[in-house]
Parts: sequence; C-alpha cells; structure tokens
Amino acid sequence: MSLLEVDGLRVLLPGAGGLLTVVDGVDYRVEEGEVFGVAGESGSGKTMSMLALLGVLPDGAAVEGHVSFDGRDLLALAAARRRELAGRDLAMVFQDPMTSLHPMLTIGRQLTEHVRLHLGFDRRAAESRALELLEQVRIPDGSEALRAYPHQFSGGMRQRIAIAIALACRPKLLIADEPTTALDVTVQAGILRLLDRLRRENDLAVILITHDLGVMSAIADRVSIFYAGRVVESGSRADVLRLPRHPYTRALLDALPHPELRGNQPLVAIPGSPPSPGNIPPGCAFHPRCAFARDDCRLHVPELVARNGRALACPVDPFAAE
Amino acid sequence: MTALELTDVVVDYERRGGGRVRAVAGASISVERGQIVGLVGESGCGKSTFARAAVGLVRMTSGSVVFEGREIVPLARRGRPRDLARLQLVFQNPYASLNPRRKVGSQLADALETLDLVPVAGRPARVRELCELVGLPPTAADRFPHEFSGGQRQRIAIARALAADPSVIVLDEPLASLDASAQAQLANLLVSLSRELGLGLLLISHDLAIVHHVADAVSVMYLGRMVETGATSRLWEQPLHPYSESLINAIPHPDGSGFLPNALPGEVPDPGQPPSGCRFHPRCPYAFSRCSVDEPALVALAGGRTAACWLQPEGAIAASPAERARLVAGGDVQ
Repeated sequence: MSLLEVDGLRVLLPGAGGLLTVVDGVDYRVEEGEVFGVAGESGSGKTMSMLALLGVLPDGAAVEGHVSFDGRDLLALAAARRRELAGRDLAMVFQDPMTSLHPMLTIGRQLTEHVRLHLGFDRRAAESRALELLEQVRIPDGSEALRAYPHQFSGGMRQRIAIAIALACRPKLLIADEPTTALDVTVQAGILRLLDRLRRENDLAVILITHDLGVMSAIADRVSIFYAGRVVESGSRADVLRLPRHPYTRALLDALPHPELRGNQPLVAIPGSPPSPGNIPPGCAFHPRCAFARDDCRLHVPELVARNGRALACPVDPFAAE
Repeated sequence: MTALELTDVVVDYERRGGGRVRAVAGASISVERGQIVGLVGESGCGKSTFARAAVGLVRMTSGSVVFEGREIVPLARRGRPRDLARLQLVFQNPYASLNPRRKVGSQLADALETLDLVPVAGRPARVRELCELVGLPPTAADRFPHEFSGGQRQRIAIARALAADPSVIVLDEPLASLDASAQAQLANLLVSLSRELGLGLLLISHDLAIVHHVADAVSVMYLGRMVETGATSRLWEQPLHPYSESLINAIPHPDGSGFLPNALPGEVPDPGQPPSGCRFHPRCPYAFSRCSVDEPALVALAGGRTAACWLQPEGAIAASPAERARLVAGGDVQ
C-alpha cells in the first residue's frame, strides 16, 4: 500500500454557469520518502487537486473520487478530523511564504503553535523543537530568529521558515506548491537541496508542484504531467524528461531555452494557450495545439494507458519508436 | 552610433529614518539599435533601479545617460520631453500598467494621439497594425485587458510601447511570471521585433537561461556594479567572474538527469552596508586575501570581454575562475 493513493479524483468549482470541472479524473500514488513531481501550465488543475486533499477548496466546490492517505479514506473524514490530519501528517507550503506566515507574529510563536496544539508539547519542549527545526532548514542563529518577525528575513529564508513550520509535527507528506517560483535561481537551488535532504533524512514524501521542468528534474523521482485537469503522461523522471512520449510533454520541453540552442534559433513555442475550465475542447484537450492530432483526437478523450512503468494518454503516440 | 549609453551611473535612495542606500554604485551599459542586451543578477542587485535610471525615471547622484546623442535629464514635474518618447519602458506586470477599464485599442491610440504620430483618420489602422506586429488578432483592440492571458497582456504592453515609434525599449522582467510556452512565444517576439524594426532592447531579467537565448550581449550586475560583460554565448560557455559562474551553475537542467543545481551561499547583502573590497567576496568560493581589502575595477580582458575580479588581470586571456585561482595559489598572479 502506498502512502497516498489517489483514484479518479475530480474537483468541480462553482463558476458563472454552474460547476466547472477543474480536475477531471486523476490517479496517482506517492510512496514514503519519494519526491513526486506534478508539472503543467497555470490552470492545469495542479494546485486544485492538492487543495482537495487538504479539504481547503473554495466554498461550493465538489470533490469526487477516492483518496487514501496512510490507510485512511481522506475524503470520507469529517472536516474537523481532516483539518487535524492536515496540520499534522499532511503539510503544505506555497509559492509565496508571506501568504502562510503571519506578518505580526514572531517566528517562534508560529513555529511552536503547531506542536503545542497538535502534539500537546509544553512551552519549553515546543521551543526546543522549534530550534531543532530551524537548524534542520539551516536558519542561522536560531534563538535570535525565534524572536524575529517574517519581514526581517529574505524571500529564501522565509521559504525555509515556512518549510520548518510545515515540518513541525513530523508530517509524512509535504505538498510543496511552486516553492521556488518566486526565488532567484541561486536561492532556489538551496531550497531544492533542502527538500532533497529532508526526504532522504526523514523519509518524508514530497509532492512537488511546479511549472518548471528543470526544478522537477532536479529532485523528483517520478513525475506526472497535467493538462486541462488530467494527467497526460507519467513515469520515472528519467523516462518522461529524457524520452517524452506525449506531444504536450515534448512541446513543454522544446519551449525551454536550452544551453545547446544557439541564439537566433527561435524557441519552439506551443501555439495558442491552455484552455480555461468550462472551455475544455472535446476529445483530447490538447488537440487544438497538437501537431500530431488526428480525427479521432477531436472525438474521444484518450485514456491514460499504463505500460512498462509509465503511462500515456495519447493514442497517436508519435514518439513511440524513438 | 550607440542608441542608449549609460556611463558610471550612481543612484542613491534615502532610507526612511535616515541613512543612504547606494542602489546603483557606478554601472555602465550601452545598447545599439537592433541589438538585444541582457542585464542579469539576483533580486536586490540594483537591476530595476538601473532600468529606471536608463529611461530617466529616477534622479542620479552622478553619471550620465545619453539617448540618441542627447543627455537625459530625470523626469520633471511636467513630464518627459517629447523626443524621449523614442525610449520606452515595459514593466514586469502588464496588468498593473494597463488600465483595466479601457479597451486595448484606445490605450494603444493614446500614444498616437499624444505624440501626433499618425493623422486621426489613420489611427484605427495603425492600432490594428500594432496588434498584428505583436501577434495579437486585430479584434484585440475592441477587448479589455482582463480578457487576455498573461502572455497576451505583455504583448499589449509591448504594442503600446511600439506605438510611440521607439528606437530603444527597456524591458524590466518582461518574461517573469509566464509559463514556459508563453515565455518562449514572447522571447521569440522580442527577437523578431528587434531584428525587423532595428530596435535596441535592454532586457532585464533574473532568468539567465532565457537571456542566454535572446540577448546578443549580457552584463552581470552584483550589488549595484557590473561584474562581467561580454557576448552572451561566450559568457555562457566560460564565465570569468565567480558570480556569473555561480548564476549559471544554479540553473536546473530539464533533462531528467537529476542534476542538483548548486546554491550560492548567503544572499545579496544590504546595499546600505556593502562589504569591503570586492562586494562579492563574502559569498565567493575563490576569495583570497586581497578581495576583502581592494575593490577590483571592471577591466578589459582578451577577446572583447570585461570582468571585475582580482583573478582576472587586465588583458589576460580568458580562463575560468578555478584555473585562475590555481595560479593565484601558485603565486603567479599578484
């Protein structure tokens, strides 16, 4: 049994004309100590599918499917039970740490609140745990940092602090949603190394949501590529990024500037832009932007077919022979 | 003739509660027509202030900005002189710079009207032409900014800059916050506009990978000063300044190899209290005794390159910081 098993997850959000499907039948597994990468353009349903696990979707949202976390049926839990779990065994960090850090509370208060509430630590025990956490995420001068406020830290340090808070109750799974997108590459590299170390040392499972395939390639073990609320391709990092099979994965990689490409050679951009929920094209959602689309791509939604440890939702499979 | 030339620009800010911060501490750059010049560095290194100085939006403490042969005087109360309209600025967030309540066409027509570049009767046609130039459908003119994606909005911002018939556009992080595909589309657009219209572009970005792809020349900025300049491909292949090297080594590779990029320890120091000697020395893996004492000047090296590093003596043949550091350890370089 995997730590996290997601089957047929659908998320519907209230829109102008009723409920809109933003996640449309997603399956995946996450094992202990594994970094699972989820990539796709904005609006592909990456974040919503994670918020659904935590039970923190906007009002009026509906969730269908089955999610088992650490042997428990997550979607069947009462809201209060799920919140308890979400603070303890299941934690999340976001792109902008300032959205999750309280600007007017000290780091110490924010780091100890958790362990006192969820684990029943007294003040002294909570404080020593807080110092331990700051050391774990490599914040220098821990006892001084405990008395400081979020604005006194740089963006990279704040993200480290947000990670420390997420780790406070020793979660089994950390969901990191674009954790490095707002950071400089030099600082990003530090956060990636930190996440990599945490999963090795603490056996922490990490779901890494990113639009940056480079970031995913650095630490993910297995990856899923999302498009318009569905998984179009998944497999091991090396398989998917070295030999992408889905035309969308291929196109995403081709759009990236590459050291081997010389100037004056244009980047290969994907024509058009991703569809918005409510305007998802029929058949394969990618077909209007796909260079390999056939007639049946416009009619039938391709199924995600698993074979040899990877899965692909493209009946054309134009790169099969490579 | 150089279209835009900034020489020894120094910009100071007053800090609330007293104290002065030198955001740009003597930096130079030049942009020719039809050339794309990249300016890279971490946040807090002074890039954006430098960009603002380039278009006369901030008062300089010293230094000069010369545009098409004439010196730029910082923006006065009454607005910019007319001939400065040929020098345009595009910001990172197009949603903040576009008026959400006015149609795109009327915002594009503003510049035509203010500068009286096109007779009234010809303005609708020119607006359609501008839309086409940046790859937007002609119908875009009748829509509002919110009806467009992030990448399209950035195209609108570029079209509005083009409406003023510029010779140089300064772009401050135009590609940040866009998805890879939108970024690629926009990067290609910038290259083709520069080539087709003979536009000079000063492209400010923290994304070295994209700058490498579009820029002809690149300058690397650290804490208000240029530490290295050169042709983009050569700088990329063999960075001479340890900071440039660190920036390149921190870029992840999307190749499935599992390459863990290298972090640069520490962060950009407070420009109010820059380190002694070379400003980069506290974070530099190659720093030696001299680096904390004397500040190195940006000097010309062989092959049309420049760097400000004690490891790279004036006129020296290009060699990586590690190779140079070995020579220093052996006593071959003073």
